[in-house]
Amino acid sequence: MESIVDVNTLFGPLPAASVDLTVEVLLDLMAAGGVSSACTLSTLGLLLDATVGNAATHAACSEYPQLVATATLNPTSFFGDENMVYRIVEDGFRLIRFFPAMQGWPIAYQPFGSILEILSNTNLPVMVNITHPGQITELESYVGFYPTVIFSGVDSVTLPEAVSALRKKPEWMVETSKLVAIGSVRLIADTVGAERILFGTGAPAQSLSAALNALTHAGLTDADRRLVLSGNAQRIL
Amino acid sequence: MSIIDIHACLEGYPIPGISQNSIQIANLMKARGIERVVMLSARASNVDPLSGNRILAAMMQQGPGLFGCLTANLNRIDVSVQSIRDLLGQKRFIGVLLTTPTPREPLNPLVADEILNACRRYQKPIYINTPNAACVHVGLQLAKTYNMHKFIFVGMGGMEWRTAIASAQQSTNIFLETSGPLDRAKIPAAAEAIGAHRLLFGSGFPYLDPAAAIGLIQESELSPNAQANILFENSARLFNLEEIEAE
Repeated sequence: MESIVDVNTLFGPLPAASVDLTVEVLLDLMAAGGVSSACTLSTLGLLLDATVGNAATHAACSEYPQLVATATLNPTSFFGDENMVYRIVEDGFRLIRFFPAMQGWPIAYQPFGSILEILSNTNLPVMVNITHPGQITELESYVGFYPTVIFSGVDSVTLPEAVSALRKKPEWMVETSKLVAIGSVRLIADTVGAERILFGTGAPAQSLSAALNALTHAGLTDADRRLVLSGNAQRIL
Repeated sequence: MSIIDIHACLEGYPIPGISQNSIQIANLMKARGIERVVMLSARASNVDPLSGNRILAAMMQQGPGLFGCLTANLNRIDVSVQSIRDLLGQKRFIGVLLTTPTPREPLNPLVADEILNACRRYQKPIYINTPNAACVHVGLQLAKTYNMHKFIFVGMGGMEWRTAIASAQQSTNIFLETSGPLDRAKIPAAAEAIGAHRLLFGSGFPYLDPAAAIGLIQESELSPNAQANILFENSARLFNLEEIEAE
């Protein structure tokens, strides 16, 4: 059985979803889908308070070894405290996620740039949620210095922008939860290489089976599919 | 298990080799276990209803399991009505899509009147794009006014799928087509509120891989019987597929 790493999951209350987003539901879905580990974070971190959310994430991931601790920071609440950023690294978080549209800040935003300047001293990859055209272009021009940026939420509308940026930034990557248009994953693999793609689902709010089925039919070689499902995530995390 | 995807777009997709003709569509569908598909013409929606629908009519003849939904563009009433009169009598045209060049904006019910009246004699379901709640509200208004027609809400309200479910509760001639966001909650919620018999499987191919859309149904925890109804039986009944395929 193939090893699968899901780099995009959440747990906790989420007003936009009406399903139960408990850790237990996430673990059940992972087991049903054959997902061996998942990067996850508490919704408290993105909707309320990063410190509270990161603590909840840390607690959940300490209890369940198949969960990979993912931190979040909200630049609208960042006042230059470098220790706040370094604490994330010290606490063993392996990925940091940012949600500009959900939290109401633009990519070209000084606090965001400051956080990434501090983080650039670490090897921590950051994942930025993409919701509309223009954001990826802004990322490339504003935080192009950052070593590993992962785009999450790229869909058929933002795909051309993602491909263009991936061509220019050889360490940057893309996650698949919204890459469900036919041919989109294959296009990225053919254009910049399958080693730049990470499997993600958005579970439990989004369907894990849907994401898996889409990848199964993406037309990748077996070797490339293994890279997307787990190899790439294991390499960068 | 038989599957029919009632929402696939012909032409207009930026990645080549996917939806430029019905053979490509049929082959990609077959690879996902789908043997019947209803195609809608992007050319008819975005450019010209007359030529788009005629090309679609020709594409439907390329093999078994291929059906079409005729597109009536409310910005092109005359040619849309002409398309209806010329083509809708063909058995393999199983419905009519009412649309405009801006499908995310609600239809104008007053402008829709002439087209809906032209459709009356054919008694085929009316597709309406419902990517948001505003479009659902107009769809509900049309469904109540033209209660001799059956309406299919394509995309079941998008992120605002609760509104689509509520509208279907208000008018029994509304069916919900399942494409749109892969929100794990929407299918169980719709089945509980209006019954699985009013849900129709559609993907919005190629913008959503039908394999992913099937995954959403499979993960819904509905009974195998309910899933089979959504994936095929409901549409087969609504469109009289047995009668069409017998000819």
